[in-house]
Amino acid sequence: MRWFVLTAILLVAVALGVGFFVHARQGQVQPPTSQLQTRVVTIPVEGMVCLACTARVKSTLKTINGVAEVEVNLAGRDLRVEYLEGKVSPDQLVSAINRLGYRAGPPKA
Amino acid sequence: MTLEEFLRRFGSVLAGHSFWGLGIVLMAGIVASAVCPCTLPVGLGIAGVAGASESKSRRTGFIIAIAFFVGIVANLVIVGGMAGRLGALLTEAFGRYWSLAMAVMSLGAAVVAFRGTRLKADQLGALRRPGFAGAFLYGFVFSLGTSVAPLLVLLTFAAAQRSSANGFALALAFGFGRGLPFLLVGLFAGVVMRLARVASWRRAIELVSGCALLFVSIYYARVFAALL
Repeated sequence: MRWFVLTAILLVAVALGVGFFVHARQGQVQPPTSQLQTRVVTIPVEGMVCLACTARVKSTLKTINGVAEVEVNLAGRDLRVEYLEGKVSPDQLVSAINRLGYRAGPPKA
Repeated sequence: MTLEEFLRRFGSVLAGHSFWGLGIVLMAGIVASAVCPCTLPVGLGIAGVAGASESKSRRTGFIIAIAFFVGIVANLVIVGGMAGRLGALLTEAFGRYWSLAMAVMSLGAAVVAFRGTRLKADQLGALRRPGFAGAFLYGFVFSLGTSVAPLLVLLTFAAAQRSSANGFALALAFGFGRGLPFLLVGLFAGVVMRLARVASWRRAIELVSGCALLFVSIYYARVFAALL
């Protein structure tokens, strides 16, 4: 019984910790964007089968310098990338996706 | 090979009403499992739990593996019936809740597994019963985040091929294929434990099982962090 209580306390503590982390992340002030122009491109991707694939593609693209925002649409099997023109090109984004083992199609502006 | 490539190559069979069509759907489920990055960590976790349960009591490892498998199939049959609304289960917002739920459930299972190393045999009996329902629930939740997208691809493809095979049969066959690798891994771990007669290693096996589940928990915590 004591162990069940301790387990429940541990799980609640984890959930609270995660909640505070999310709240802190959402409350962060976004840094001002640079003078470079922001572009948006939609890239069709084949091979994404689960939400972990979504996370994998998103985290990989967000590490690329010049990528501002990534939204993955698993139902539509494509992703929308907001990037700074001049810092990164759509071809680099496609290469990064292909290196993960997925098949990126031609980017659409 | 991606799932889409597999369906393009063999999907023409779906146009008919044949037994082969369902066979292709079952194969598509296996392909989806093969290409999904979640299969390996969760498969290790299921093998660990099934092996540890089998070392405690005969057949419990088998039942755990079957309960997880049934959870996957049941989920796919249910979501197959609401094909038009599947998009809601594939958003990043849903992914955050799902990965967090998977991380917390895996962590809870890991704590129970580590605790098992310090329990006596009669105390373990009380833990075993909720273990079956827990494995079913775990399979059900796991399937929500990992099997709905390939099922949607499959249903879209079947519609494109003007297939009149109903969604229930497709979802059931796909669920069997998707869950089959986990069922086999769980059964194999159970058989190994039974043949090796490693009852005396029970505590060590439970420790390994706990570590495997902790690994799964960290894996999904990282997925959660990436989706923030």
